Amino acid sequence: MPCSCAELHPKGCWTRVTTWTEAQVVTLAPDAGSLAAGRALAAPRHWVSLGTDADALWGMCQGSGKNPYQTQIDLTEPAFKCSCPSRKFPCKHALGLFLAYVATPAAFAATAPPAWVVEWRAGRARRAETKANAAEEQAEKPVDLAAQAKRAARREDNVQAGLQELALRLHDLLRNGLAQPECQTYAYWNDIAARMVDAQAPGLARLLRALPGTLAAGDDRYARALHKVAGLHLLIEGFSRLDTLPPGLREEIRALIGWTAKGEELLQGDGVRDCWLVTGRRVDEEDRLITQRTWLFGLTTGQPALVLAFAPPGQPLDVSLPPGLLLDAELVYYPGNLPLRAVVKTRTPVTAPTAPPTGLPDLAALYAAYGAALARNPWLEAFPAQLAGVICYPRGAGWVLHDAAGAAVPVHPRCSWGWHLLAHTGGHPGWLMGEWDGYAFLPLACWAEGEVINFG
Amino acid sequence: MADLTTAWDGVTNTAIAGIARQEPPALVADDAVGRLCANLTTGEKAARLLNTAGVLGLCRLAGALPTPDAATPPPPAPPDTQPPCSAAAARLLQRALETPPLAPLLPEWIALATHHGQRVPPALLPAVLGAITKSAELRAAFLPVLGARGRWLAHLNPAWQAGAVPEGDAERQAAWETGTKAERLAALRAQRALDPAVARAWLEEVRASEPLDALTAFIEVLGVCLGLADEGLLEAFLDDKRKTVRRPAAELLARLPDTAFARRMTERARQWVTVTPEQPASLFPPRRKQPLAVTVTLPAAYDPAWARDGIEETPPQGIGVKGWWLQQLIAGTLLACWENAGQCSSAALVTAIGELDDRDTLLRGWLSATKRQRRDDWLLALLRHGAPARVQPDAAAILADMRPEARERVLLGLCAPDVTQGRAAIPALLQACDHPWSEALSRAVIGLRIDAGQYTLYENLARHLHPTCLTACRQKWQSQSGDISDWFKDRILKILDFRTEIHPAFGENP
Repeated sequence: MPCSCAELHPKGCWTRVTTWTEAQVVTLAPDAGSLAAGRALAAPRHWVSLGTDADALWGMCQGSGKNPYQTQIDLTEPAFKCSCPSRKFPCKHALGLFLAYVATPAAFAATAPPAWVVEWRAGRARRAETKANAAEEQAEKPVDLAAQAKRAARREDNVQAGLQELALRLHDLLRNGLAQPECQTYAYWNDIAARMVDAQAPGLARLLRALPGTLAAGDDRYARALHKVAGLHLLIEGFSRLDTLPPGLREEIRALIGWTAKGEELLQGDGVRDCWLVTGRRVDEEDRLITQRTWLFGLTTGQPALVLAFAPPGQPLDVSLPPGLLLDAELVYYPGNLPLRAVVKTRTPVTAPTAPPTGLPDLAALYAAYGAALARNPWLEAFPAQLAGVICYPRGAGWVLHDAAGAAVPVHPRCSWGWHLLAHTGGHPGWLMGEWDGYAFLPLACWAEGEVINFG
Repeated sequence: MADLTTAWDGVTNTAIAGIARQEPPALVADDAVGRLCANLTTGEKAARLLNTAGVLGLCRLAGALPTPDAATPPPPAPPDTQPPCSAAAARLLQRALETPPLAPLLPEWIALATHHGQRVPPALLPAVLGAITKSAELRAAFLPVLGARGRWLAHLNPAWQAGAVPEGDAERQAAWETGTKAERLAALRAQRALDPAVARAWLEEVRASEPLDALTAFIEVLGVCLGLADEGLLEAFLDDKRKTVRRPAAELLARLPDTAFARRMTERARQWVTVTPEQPASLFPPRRKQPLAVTVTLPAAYDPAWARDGIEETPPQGIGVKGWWLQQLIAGTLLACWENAGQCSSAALVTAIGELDDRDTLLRGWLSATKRQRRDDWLLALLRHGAPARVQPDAAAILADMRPEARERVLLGLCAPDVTQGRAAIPALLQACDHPWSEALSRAVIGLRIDAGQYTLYENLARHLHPTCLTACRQKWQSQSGDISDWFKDRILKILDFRTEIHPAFGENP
C-alpha cells in the first residue's frame, strides 16, 4: 500500500523510533471500529508468527481466509501493508500487530525479514526513487512561461472581478443589516461562496461557508459575524492595493483568497531543521473533505507549524505524524508574514518526550502572544497555543479554562472531550495545547501520565 | 476614542439594523485608533462602516485582557493509591465496554481488578462512569476499581450521579428522609447492607405513615441480611389490615427458622399432614417392616386466623380450594420439621409421597418452602424424585436465589452418574447460574450434549466456564459444525478468547 506521504521524504535518513507508546498507536487508527478490531487482535496468540528487525515489524494473522494474512509495518514512517482485503488504512491487522508490539515486544522474534517483507521494502525504495527522478525530470522540463503567465493573469482578472462582486454583496448586507432573515440561511452564503469558487477564489468561499454557522448560535453571534464580514472586506481592500503592501502580508492575503504554493515546489527550498514535537491534532469534515490539522512545535526555535492533510470521507489520512512524537525534521513553511502552514521535507522520528513541553505561563501571556500574532496576520483563524499550569473544568453547560492568575476563558463548544480531558488531568494544573480564536480555546492535547494525550 | 468597547458596540448595532435604518456612530479621533478610523473616508457608507468594523474588531481582539474568574475550580483529584491496570487489561475493558456481546463479561474483569487492587485507567473513566448509570449492580461492582480519580470525576458530572447512593452516613439518612421513592429505596438498601439494625429502625419509624406502594417495596429490602432480629417488625407488619403488606412480611418470616410464625405454621400443617417414620420389623409384638408413610387430609374450612399469616382464601384458577389452603400452610412450614418427624432425608420424603392422591399439593407446598428457605438438598430431591413437570418450571428461579456453592451442589448432584430423572432440567438450571463456575462443575457440564438451538446455553457456558476449561471448550466448539450458525460460533468463540486473555492481562496463569 503506498504511503500517502512517501513522496515527501527523500529516502535514506530514517532510523527507528525507540519507544512507541500505545497512545501514539491509537491515534493512527482510521476509525473507532478498526481500533476496536485491532485491540481484539493485540494478543500475541492471534498471530501465527511475529518478527522484527531494526526497521520493521511483521506478523502472520489467521483471518477468515484460507492463508494467514501477511501484515507488516515499516517503523520509520510508520507505513503499513497487509494482504487482507480491507480498505481501511491502516487495517485492523496492522493496528493489532502494532498494539501487540507496544504491549509485548518480547513476543517478536528478532530475525531476518522473510521474503515478503524484503520485497515490500525494496518496492517502496524503488517507488521513492522513481518519484524523485520524476520530480527532477519535471524540473528539467522546459516550461512554457508565456502560457503560464497568461493563465496567471487570467486568474488575477477573475479574482478581481469576483472580489468586486463580493464587495457589492457585503455592502448590500450592511445596508439592510445582519438581522435580515435571508442572511441567516445557509443558501444565502452558499450562493456567494459558489460565486467565489467560479471566480477562482476558493479560500474566500471557505470563509463564507463558515458564516451561517457563526450567525446561528451564541449571544455575541452578530458581533462575531460582523468581525468575520469586516475581515473579508479588509481582504478585498488589501487585495486592491496589494502592490503597496509588504511582501509577507501580500502572501497572507493571496493564500487566504486561494492561491496556495505547491508543496513540491516548497520542498525545493530550504527548511527549518529542528527537533519538532507533534503537539496536537484535529480532524474535521469541511465541505465533504476530511481535513486533518497537525500542530508541531520546534523545541529550539519555539516556532509552531501546521501540517495539513486532506482526504475524501472514508479514505485514509496521513498517519506519519501521531501526536506525542518527537522528530528530528526539516520543515518548509509556506510563505507569509506569520508562517504557520508547513510541509515536512525530511524527518527522523526520535522518541517520545519524557517531560512536558514548555508553555505560556498564563492566559495574559496567551492574549499578548495572540495580539502579536494578529499584528502579523490580521486574518489569523486559529492561534496554536501551549499553556502551562491551566485547569480545564466544567461550568454550567460548558467548560472553562482557568489559569494560575485566576483568569478564565471559555472552552470552544465544539470540544466534546472535556470529560476525557478532566479524567486525564484530574483537575490538576498542567500543560495543555490547543487553538485560540480570540473568543474561545479549543483544547487538543494535554500532558498526563508522562505523555502527550491527544483528543481532537 | 473614549472607549473601544462602546465604539465597537455602536458599530455592531448599526450593522445589525443596517445603515439604511441607523446612522453609523460618530467616533472621536483623539487617539491612534480613533485617528485611523477617522481616516477611513473612501468609498461609500457601507464600505466605510465595514472598514471601521475591521479596525475596531481587530483592535478589540488584539488588545483584550483575560477576565478574572469569579469562581474557583473544583479541588483536584486526590492521589491514587491503587496502581492502574495493565495496558492489556485496559484494552480488554475497552472492548467489553464497546462490544455488546462482551458486556456480560465486565463482572469478571472487575473481579480480577478488585482482587489485584488495580483501578480503571483515566482514559476509560468516562466510558465506565457512563456505563454504571445504567445498572445498579455494575455501579456497586465498579466502585472499588474506579480509584480516587474515578470517584472524584463521578462527583463532577451530574449525569453520572443517576442511581448513585450517597456514601456518607449523613447523606444517606438525608436521602432516606427527603429523597424521591427511588432514592429512598436505594438509600435503604445500601443502609441495610451496611447496618441492618439502622435500616430496620428507619422502616419501623415510617411504618404507620408510609403510602402502600412504597411500604411494600421497603419491606422487601429486609430480605437483605435477613435475621431473627427482624422477627418483631415482620410480625408487626402481619397485623396490618392490608393484604399487600402482610404478604411480603409472611414471605420473609417463612425464610427464618425458629420463629413464632414458624411454630404457628408447623402446628397447623401437622394437623393435616402426618409423617410416620420407617419402622423395622419386630418379632414381638409381631410386625412386618413398615415403610416411611405420609398421610394427608385436607382442611375442612378456612380458619380466619390464617389470614394474618398471609394465607389466602381464594385459590388461583385450576387449583382446588382446600388443596390451596394446605399448600400455603406447607409452604410456610419449616422443611426441617418433616425431616425430624420422619427421621429421614428429603429424598426419602419426596419418594414416599409418590402414590398419594394429594401429591401435587405437597409438592407445590414443598417447592415454595424450598424457595423461601433456600434448601439446595430439597431442590435436588424434588428434581430427582418429584414430578418433573411440576418442579422443573420453578427450579431455575429457586436456584437463582441460592448462593453459588448451593447452586453447584444441586447441579453436581444432577450430573452424578446414577441420576435417572431430572437431568433434563440442567440447561435451564445453568441459565440461572450467573456466578463463575467451579472447575468441577465446568468439567461436568463441558461434556454435556447441547441440543441444537440452545444458543443461550452455549453463551452461558462461554461466559461462566472455569478459566482452566476454556481451551478444551474452544477445541470442542471449533471443530463442531451444524448445530450452530457460523455467525454464532464466531460470537461464542470471541467470548472464550476474551476470557482466555483476561487472566494473563492481570498477570495470572489460569
